[in-house]
Amino acid sequence: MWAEKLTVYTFTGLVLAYLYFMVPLMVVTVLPAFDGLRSQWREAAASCGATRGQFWRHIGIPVLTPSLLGGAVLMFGTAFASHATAAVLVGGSVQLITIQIANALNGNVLAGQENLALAMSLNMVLVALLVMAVQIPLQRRSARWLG
Amino acid sequence: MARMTSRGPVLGIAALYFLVPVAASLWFTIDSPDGIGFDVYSKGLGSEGLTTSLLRSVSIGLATVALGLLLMVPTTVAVALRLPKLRRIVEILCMMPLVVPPIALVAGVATVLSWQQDLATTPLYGTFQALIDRDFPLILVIVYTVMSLPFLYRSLDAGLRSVDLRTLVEAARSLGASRTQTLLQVVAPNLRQAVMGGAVLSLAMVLGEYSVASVLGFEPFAVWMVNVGDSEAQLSVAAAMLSLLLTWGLLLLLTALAGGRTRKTQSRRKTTS
Repeated sequence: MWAEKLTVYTFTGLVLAYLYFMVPLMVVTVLPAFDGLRSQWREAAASCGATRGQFWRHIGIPVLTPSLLGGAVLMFGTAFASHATAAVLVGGSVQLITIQIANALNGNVLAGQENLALAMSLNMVLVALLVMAVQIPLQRRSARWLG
Repeated sequence: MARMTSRGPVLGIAALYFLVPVAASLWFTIDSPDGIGFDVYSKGLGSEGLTTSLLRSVSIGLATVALGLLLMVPTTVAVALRLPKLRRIVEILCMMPLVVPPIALVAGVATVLSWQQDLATTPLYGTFQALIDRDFPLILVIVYTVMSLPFLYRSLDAGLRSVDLRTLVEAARSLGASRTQTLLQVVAPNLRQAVMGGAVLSLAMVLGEYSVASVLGFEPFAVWMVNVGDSEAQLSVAAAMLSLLLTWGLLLLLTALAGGRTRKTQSRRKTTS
């Protein structure tokens, strides 16, 4: 039975649960860009003989690309940094860096690992900085069409 | 036309995805061996653990909002009126909590708190004791204030940008208002919605926060909810339903406030154009 195999206490379950707060995040980041798509562009494309598909392929998607990519990067950063959902849903069965840090701090696995926790935290900050470094230029680029 | 037909199924799938787990949770709380019963809600929700932890969360949340506003309202107003050069720096500082994940932040906080043993003979020992008081952990208020800076900053910054504060202040001053009068009667009313928006978001964040509190070993509402799940699963899920309602309520309040703001700016735009 497939239902017997269906369990959320796994990597897949985690992805499914993370989607819960990823969807709103993506909507909030990307919606302004969709608002920025002007109906004049569609009309101009249509009067030049473009079909709906051609409009999206040559105008809509290229204009939206920076903000779509920016949203994707932001979601990656958020998923990477989140701890509560994973801690409650899968506990220790899926090894995430956030859970490792919490374990090291609580002395759950070995006592006296505070230094390890700090080192892993610094790694996380570096990844977050990288995310920011990619996301901020993308955000600027997408803001160009929203004026 | 094509958009109309594809919209329905997409919305339907999204609704299923978001509503099925909520419905399943609701079913889990009312399903008992003797049929459907609301025992968990009638008995469990009055239980001592729930009320103390919820009250603890609410008081931590209100203290966080108060401290955050005390810090950010004067800062943003001062930056807008007097120190525009510092704007960039304040913005970067306030966005730092977005770069440092909460779990990394708490690793640093735990390290600082561990200094307590070395300070056992100094008066600072008492300060640390107050910070980690179980019923009202000040340390959580401080950490949550840092974590709420991005919300407060964004909201206040947007609020300040939507009005020409400098002109308003100059007008008030030239009409003979004192500095305090200007701040209280001109600046404050213009910022009210921004303040409320930031406060509601911060409050919602604090009420749902789990990582920091659980790693530091405190038991506000979210942590209690998870801990009680080990022994009373139904009560835990019922509490989750309650917190869902609470957060929804807060966010609805926020939307209502934001709606008021857009209406105002729209009508303003209409009058100017």
